[in-house]
Amino acid sequence: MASETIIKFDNVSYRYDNEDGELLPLVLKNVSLELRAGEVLAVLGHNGSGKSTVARLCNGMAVPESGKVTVAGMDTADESLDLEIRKTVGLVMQDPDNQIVATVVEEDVAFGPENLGIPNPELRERVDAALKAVDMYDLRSAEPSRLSGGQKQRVAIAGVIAMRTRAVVMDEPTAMLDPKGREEVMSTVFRLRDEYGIGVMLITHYMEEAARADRIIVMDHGTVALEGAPSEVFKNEKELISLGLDIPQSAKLASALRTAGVALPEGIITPAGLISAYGKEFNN
Amino acid sequence: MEKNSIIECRGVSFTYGSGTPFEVRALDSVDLDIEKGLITALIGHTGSGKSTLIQTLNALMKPDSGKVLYEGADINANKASARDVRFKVGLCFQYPEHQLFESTVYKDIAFGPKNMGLDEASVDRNVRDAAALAGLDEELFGKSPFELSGGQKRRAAIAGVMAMKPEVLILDEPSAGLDPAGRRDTFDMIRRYREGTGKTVIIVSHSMDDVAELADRIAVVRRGKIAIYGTVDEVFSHSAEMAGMGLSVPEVTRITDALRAAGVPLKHGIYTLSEAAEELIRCYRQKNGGRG
Repeated sequence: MASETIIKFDNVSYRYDNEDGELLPLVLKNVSLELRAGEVLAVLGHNGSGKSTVARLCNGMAVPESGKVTVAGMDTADESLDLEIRKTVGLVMQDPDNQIVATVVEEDVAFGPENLGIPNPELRERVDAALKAVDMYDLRSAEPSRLSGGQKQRVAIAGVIAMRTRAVVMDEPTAMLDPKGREEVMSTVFRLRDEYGIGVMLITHYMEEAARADRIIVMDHGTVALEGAPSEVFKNEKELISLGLDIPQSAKLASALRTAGVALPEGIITPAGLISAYGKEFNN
Repeated sequence: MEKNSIIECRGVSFTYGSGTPFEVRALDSVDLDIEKGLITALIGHTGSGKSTLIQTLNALMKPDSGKVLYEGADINANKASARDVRFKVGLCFQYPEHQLFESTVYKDIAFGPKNMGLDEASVDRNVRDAAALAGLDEELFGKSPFELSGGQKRRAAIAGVMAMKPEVLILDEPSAGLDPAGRRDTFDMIRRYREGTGKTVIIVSHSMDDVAELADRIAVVRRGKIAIYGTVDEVFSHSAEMAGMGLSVPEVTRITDALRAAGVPLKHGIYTLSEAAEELIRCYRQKNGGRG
């Protein structure tokens, strides 16, 4: 089933300039990619591969030097569409402490839609629905500074979806979190996909998170090096390691077992996959 | 068995905002022995007290009550002892590369040892040793730290602390935010440091897989107390308790636990990839009577 494309990069190149206004080398070179509604797309790549630049281009924070980025068909280079574009694609960044602006959780979530001029009671409804979507409704009156990292990130995600965005781009949202906080954010990601049909672009350094996505794009030196389903992408162990990446622990273990003659199928990338395949083979 | 401890915490407590409505008890009568020459991992969820604890170990923070002993002597006995311990116990904060500030990589790594008052030749030797541990080529010495890659910057910043040759090196989440290659390089650097110098290392980490590969001892911090302390084996055998604390055990441990529960006769105590592979292959071959 073909879902609707929300973000589309068409041959996009981009570069930054330095303090003197001189152009630096290209950080993205002819990148084409798509994020569709209701999918989780993981973007992998070593530090400096261009991943975060992709995030900035997704909602018009940066515009391509050449090529085109469209959001629900709107060209991000067209400044008159800025507001519509930001209503469609929200951004969640790495540091939970840098993106909370209010002193009460629900006020923080209301900040975005309020600025869009959404009146009550719709504003109230949106804020409540967003807080429920990230499972933070019970803490709506809490002070953000007292929340854990995972809770803060979920408040940031709620702030984005209260704007009724159709896609959310998350730039390493779990990098600063402990295992519990990471899992809270990951289950929120899948909830956005499954219950709200939101497209999520998840930029991450964790292979285990990427293994749970619907699709993966691997960036290297500003280009797309690999693209496909996680079970396909993670078959390329050597290439991924040479790109400064890795494969999930489960995939590594499966590959070691296969080498030793255990008849496991290809494409095992999660603990659940390995447990079921080994269990089956063992009892065979 | 007699432990050879380099640092001992005895009833260490610390409260933030004492006497205000926002009072938070970060450390609650902590008793902990850091064993000499070992790598100890401190794990615990955000807000458990880990960061406060490491700051009491080199007198950056003074406990409200209780004592921190370095080789048996109270580090907070007087100003001189508190100053002294900072050279013996080197602390590397999270995202240490944000604190790179010198004009060259060499000067940045040399900053700490210079500050200790070492002569030029010793500073130079320490810088070269630390850079070698960090896997930073001497060709990079003249470059600005900002020209380095993300992983190199992190290792240069850690090298700056290693160059002081502290008896105890404390690293707060040394691999946070790095890509897998950067993580591998950083952990290799820590391993080389310990193997090359025999000195004590404490790391704070959220990655149970990394802890299982690297640490000799684990201390689980929870609500300002040490909830569990022991070898990797002893600590990760409490998998249910760990899950209850919002922590986890290594991914391979979860896999082998599930398979054992499903009837595969795997031994207990599997925490690293190589142990898991070995044991899963052994069981498979045994079951299949040597075929395969």
